[in-house]
Amino acid sequence: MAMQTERTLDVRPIPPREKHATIFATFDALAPGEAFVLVNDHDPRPLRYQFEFERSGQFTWEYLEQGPEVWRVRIGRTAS
Amino acid sequence: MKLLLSSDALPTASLEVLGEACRRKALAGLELVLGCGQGHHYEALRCPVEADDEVVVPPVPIYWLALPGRPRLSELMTWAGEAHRLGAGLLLWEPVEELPRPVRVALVHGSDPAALALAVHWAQSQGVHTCYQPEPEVLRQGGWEAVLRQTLPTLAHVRLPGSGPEGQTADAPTGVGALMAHLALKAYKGTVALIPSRLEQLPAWKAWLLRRRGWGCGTATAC
Repeated sequence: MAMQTERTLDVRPIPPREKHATIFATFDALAPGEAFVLVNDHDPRPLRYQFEFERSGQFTWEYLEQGPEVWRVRIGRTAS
Repeated sequence: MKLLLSSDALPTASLEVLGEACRRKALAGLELVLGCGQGHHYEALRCPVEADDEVVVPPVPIYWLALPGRPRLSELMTWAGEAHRLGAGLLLWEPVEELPRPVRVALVHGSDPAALALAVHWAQSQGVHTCYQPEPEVLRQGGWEAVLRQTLPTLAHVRLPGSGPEGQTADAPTGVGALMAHLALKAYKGTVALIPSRLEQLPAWKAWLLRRRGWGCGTATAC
């Protein structure tokens, strides 16, 4: 009965000041090889730059949908 | 996880305006609260169970029909028929003696331990779902974690206060991000409806939902 199979983090309802911290906290909670799908209302390119600075070599980034209303990106933690 | 708009956020709006607001914010669909004098007048339309000449065709998917209070058995069965036609579920605020199968049902609870225990027990014993509506102060203080530990196995819907336009202000409520991250990590696959945290916020919700802009991150382009 539980409605749980896929990890999706829709950040649209999250206040701006909490967004990036929430995304990084979610990423940091992943085990190696795991991933989540980020949903946003714009291209999260600045976030990707931040990942490249702060989690260099630790993440994968795959666009699943690129607008115009919604962007979906699968962000994964690389297997160590 | 699917993000929905509750008609509580635009209580005077027609069904068409609610649908337009959903499309503008790229929301998956609606949670339609019945009664309470809401402007969509859905409850005033003759139900197709009783008269087949007034079938409502919603402008966007309706995921939940919310029945506040304790509906009479006839009301419950009537709306269960309509929910079934729409492919929606029924949100209840109190347990009922007879369940309208095979319609999906979820019992709403807050963070009060007694109400939570009752809702989870009833949902488990009846094979139905729960719906969590965290209070803003519980969101702020993180008390929702203990609630989710109990309700998550049956959780199908969350009524989330304090997002939307309320999240764009300098004194935006905190805790929404932590809750959303927790749901994501638990692979929650149900729905989350945006609701205002209090009536004083309704003008802000109306302005926010009816404009053609992003969600207010500061980097989204106007469309």
